[in-house]
Amino acid sequence: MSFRRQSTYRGALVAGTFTNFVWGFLLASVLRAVLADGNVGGLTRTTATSFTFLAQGMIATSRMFGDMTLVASVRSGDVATELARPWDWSAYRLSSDLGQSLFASLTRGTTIVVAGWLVYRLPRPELTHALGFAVCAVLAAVLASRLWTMAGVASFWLVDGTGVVQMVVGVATFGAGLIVPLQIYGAGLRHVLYALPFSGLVQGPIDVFLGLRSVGFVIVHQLAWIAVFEVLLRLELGAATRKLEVQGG
Amino acid sequence: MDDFIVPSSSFVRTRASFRLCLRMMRARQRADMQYRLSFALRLVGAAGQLLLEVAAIWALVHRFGSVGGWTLGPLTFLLGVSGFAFRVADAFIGGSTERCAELIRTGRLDVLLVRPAGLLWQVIGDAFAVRRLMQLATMIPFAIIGIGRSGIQWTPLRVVILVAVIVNSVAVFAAIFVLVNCISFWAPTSQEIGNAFTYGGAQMAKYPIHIFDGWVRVVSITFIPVAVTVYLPSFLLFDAPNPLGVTWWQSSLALASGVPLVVAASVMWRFAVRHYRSTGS
Amino acid sequence: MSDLAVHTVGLRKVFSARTKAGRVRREKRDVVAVVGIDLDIAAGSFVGVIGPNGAGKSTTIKMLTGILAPTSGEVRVLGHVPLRERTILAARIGVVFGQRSQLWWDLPLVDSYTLLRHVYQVPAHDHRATLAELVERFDLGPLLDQPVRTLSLGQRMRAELVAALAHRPPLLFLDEPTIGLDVVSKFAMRDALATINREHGTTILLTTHDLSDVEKLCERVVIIDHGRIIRDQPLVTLLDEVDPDVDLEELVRRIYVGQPLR
Repeated sequence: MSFRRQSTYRGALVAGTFTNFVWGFLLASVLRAVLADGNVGGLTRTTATSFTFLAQGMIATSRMFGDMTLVASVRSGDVATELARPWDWSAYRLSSDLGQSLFASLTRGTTIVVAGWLVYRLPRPELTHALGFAVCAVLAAVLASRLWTMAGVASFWLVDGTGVVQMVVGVATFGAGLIVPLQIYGAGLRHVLYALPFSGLVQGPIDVFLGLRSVGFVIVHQLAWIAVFEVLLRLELGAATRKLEVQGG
Repeated sequence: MDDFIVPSSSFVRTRASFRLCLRMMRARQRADMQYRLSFALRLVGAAGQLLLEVAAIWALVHRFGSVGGWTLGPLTFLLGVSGFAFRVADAFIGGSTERCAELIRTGRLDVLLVRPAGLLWQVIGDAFAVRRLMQLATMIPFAIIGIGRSGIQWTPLRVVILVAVIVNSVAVFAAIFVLVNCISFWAPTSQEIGNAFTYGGAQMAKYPIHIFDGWVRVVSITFIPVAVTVYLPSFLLFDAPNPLGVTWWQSSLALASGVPLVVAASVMWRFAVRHYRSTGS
Repeated sequence: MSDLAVHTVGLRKVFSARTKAGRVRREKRDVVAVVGIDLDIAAGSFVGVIGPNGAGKSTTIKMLTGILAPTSGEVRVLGHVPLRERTILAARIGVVFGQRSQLWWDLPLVDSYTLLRHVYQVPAHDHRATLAELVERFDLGPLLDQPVRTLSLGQRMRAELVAALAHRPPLLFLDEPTIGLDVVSKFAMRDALATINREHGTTILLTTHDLSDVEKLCERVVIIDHGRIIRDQPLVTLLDEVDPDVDLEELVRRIYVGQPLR
């Protein structure tokens, strides 16, 4: 259902894909230059290039620019009617978000990944890695859904919710390895960043694709954080609905 | 009936429009600061995001010791000065790209056209946001550190060149913003494309462009000419590996590149507005 | 000529529309929005411009205010050519767009007026006097410190009118100002407009779908349909063309659909 709604945003799609192109080729160039003959934490020149384009693709999957629609909905009051409906709101948002992720991945995501592969003649992944990646990518989309929903619901308590979402986008972008792959960071910081939930959004699945980390670890990490977010989200929603009731809807 | 004075000469009008722009910015600032908590959060978020980005790039540079042969000193200079110049332009003109598209989509641009003030100044004034000023403030220390660590042998001439680099870079980035604004007049729903030119360009300017693969390098000199901001003129200031063989007069030419770009941006803006006024919305 | 607020001869606007013809090709087609309008409005008049949707009313107003460039024809507003002298003309006119606000949404109303004072370069004490008078007439006193977004539509439209008048323009354009207003606000606005026209001699050009506005306020009616003026006459002579029991709305309806008037 949410799949088709997205097809109408053609202009924004083209723009987004173009942005991906520019960033992808730019970041790839930088990494290729510094990794000319080196190897950092398993990243070689080739794998770093693959990383960059996969990361750009996963921006679409994990919706790394944040989700302002929920904030707008809170501000306009529409969310109150949504919450009053008989279905499980959290599940409804999950399915809606997954639909968006799927559409974005198929359009923006695959375009940029294919482009990168063609231009740089990157190698094909092993089948097990590719399958592992697929599973982790889905989990990443779920994780992303919970994250952005939590950020959006936080705007109940603030007049201007965009500030919260922007902050989360900033931290998440950093923690997901989008500015620079997490392997680049020094030992201590790297471990902390890997432990945080954000790495599960982009870094984790890509590490699996490139065979740099075991798919088991990544999946466990993602599932653990999904569980934590679920709990937090329920609590947050509870508080939010109570606030709505007090206000009179 | 007409009791009030109408400014007549073009220069007087421009100056009046500029002053009006400043007032509109102050009005936006007051509006922004209305809700203390959200405002504080946004500021922290904006500064934080920028700091994280700088930290990431610094981590990269630190890990490898050098990028394209350039060591930490010159690289910090490149990062700090180009980043600072970009944020100066962004603080004042950055929001106008989105705002211009929004004004066109909602038809509110007509309200601005019916006022006795320059259109571009009004759009800029309307699009001001305090958080961008905060991001500018965040970059100041990095500019200072970069200049300090650069290893420049200071002479009066080099001080002048440094000032010229900064002023020129601000002009180049400002021109790029205005040019990107013009996209709104033809494709107001695809304004996001502009971000690739502005923020993408700013990213490009942070690195020595000789590390880029061929065509990205070409783009950084022609299409999104950010190489002229700091990289090209920097050879006038210090010795750094110069695999592209940039000559001193190329560096000097780069220093003056802001002028034709600003002129081009101004021409393009007028053309875009004329197009809007002849085809309507 | 010198006391004509608006003077147009053969005003014409043609839009080039690109339409899809078939699957891929795009055809260029010329859409003539305004055909050849000759309009003279004397200073101090109160003119109502009406017409069905898509008739070319807004296009014409946009050309008069300098927003849109005419394809051909001569147009002078207050002696200025709108296209070339946009900013000069803008300082001497007031415009109220029914659907688009010129006020600053998040700020207190008084801040908008202060900003507009600087936009129009009005000397401080003149502005203070004019504003005080207008605020009192439109009963906006208690609302001045409220953010504009908290005002009701009726209050906001009154505020917009004050904003358009604070620099004492000799010519006022109103584009659907009463749309969506409740009866009380409508009456208040009409009353104020009539007073301004009468006491200050402000020329007023009113575009509206609400024919009772026209009936109560306008001495002259211009009807535009399919890009041309089909009627341009004093309101009384128009009303004389039908039996007294036929109201203006019915009269105009007959004109739009091409029915005979009696």
